[in-house]
Amino acid sequence: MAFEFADAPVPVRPDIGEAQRRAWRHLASPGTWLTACQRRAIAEETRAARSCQLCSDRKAALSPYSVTGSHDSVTELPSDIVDAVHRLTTDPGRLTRSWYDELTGAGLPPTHYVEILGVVTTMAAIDGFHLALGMELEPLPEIIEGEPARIRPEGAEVTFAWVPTTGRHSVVNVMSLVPAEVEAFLDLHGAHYLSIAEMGDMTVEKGLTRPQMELVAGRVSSVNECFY
Amino acid sequence: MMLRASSDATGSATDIHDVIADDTDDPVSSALTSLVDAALKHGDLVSARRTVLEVLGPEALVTACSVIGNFEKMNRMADGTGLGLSDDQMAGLADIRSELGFDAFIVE
Repeated sequence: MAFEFADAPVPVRPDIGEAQRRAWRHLASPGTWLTACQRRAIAEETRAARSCQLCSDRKAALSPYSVTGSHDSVTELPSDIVDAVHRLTTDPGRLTRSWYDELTGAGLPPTHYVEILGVVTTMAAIDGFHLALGMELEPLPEIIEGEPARIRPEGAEVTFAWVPTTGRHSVVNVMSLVPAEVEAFLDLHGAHYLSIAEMGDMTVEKGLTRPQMELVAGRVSSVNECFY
Repeated sequence: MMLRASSDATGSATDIHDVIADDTDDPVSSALTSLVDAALKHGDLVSARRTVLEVLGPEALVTACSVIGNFEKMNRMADGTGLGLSDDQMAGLADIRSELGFDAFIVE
């Protein structure tokens, strides 16, 4: 069974493993716009990005857009998707509106972009947890056959982000163009951090006090230069 | 904003400046921020984990690592979609932005 954390240096709460197993199943399943095979390939690329020479060169450059070349890709995904996955993984703080407009203007629909983002960020959460705790990364899951649902929510439009959204201005709704990715995000968020119900409780404790959790959260955002 | 609200609610001594400080006298804040730095900047994670274990214990270490993962995700969600702060959020954070020097990054 996946996510048993046999090599963890300390016992891991069961709810984390349960949530990560659900996330793995979601990742390996047909998405809303992408096939299971494409979703798994995106997951593979997120791991390849960590050792990609072009990504490393771009990270070191004054502007990542001044460095050209080819990524150390490990899949057959189109080059524009590989580039998006690698940039989202290794240098997200320097993505720009013009980059997003160029990507989608060249033919990648915003729906597909949001789903790619959902896969990339799921990998960031799960692999980030494993790396921080000093564990081997979990092998990627076997794909589950089927067809994408291809359902776009009504009323999605560009309001508070580059991508079309529904609902109020909030990070919770930023992937609302693909509701299945929001559901998956909230499920993992509840185990890794806090459930929506717990968010309003400033006295909640999960091994750390709420202020200690927020210190960790703020420090991660500071290191990543994410100012949201 | 959540750090300040939770510190106020619990009477915690956690200092908001520790979010960006190079060092701190508080052993708990020091252990947690050193763990984050080691995880994200390829530092000495073995030593950082050992310190968290000594200062806070095993449950705290697991939660710290799970929160690191969660915000590795959320940072990419925000930056990958161009999500900015709403006017209400900007107004509510005015004093914190000023205290931490973030206003220097605002382009009018």
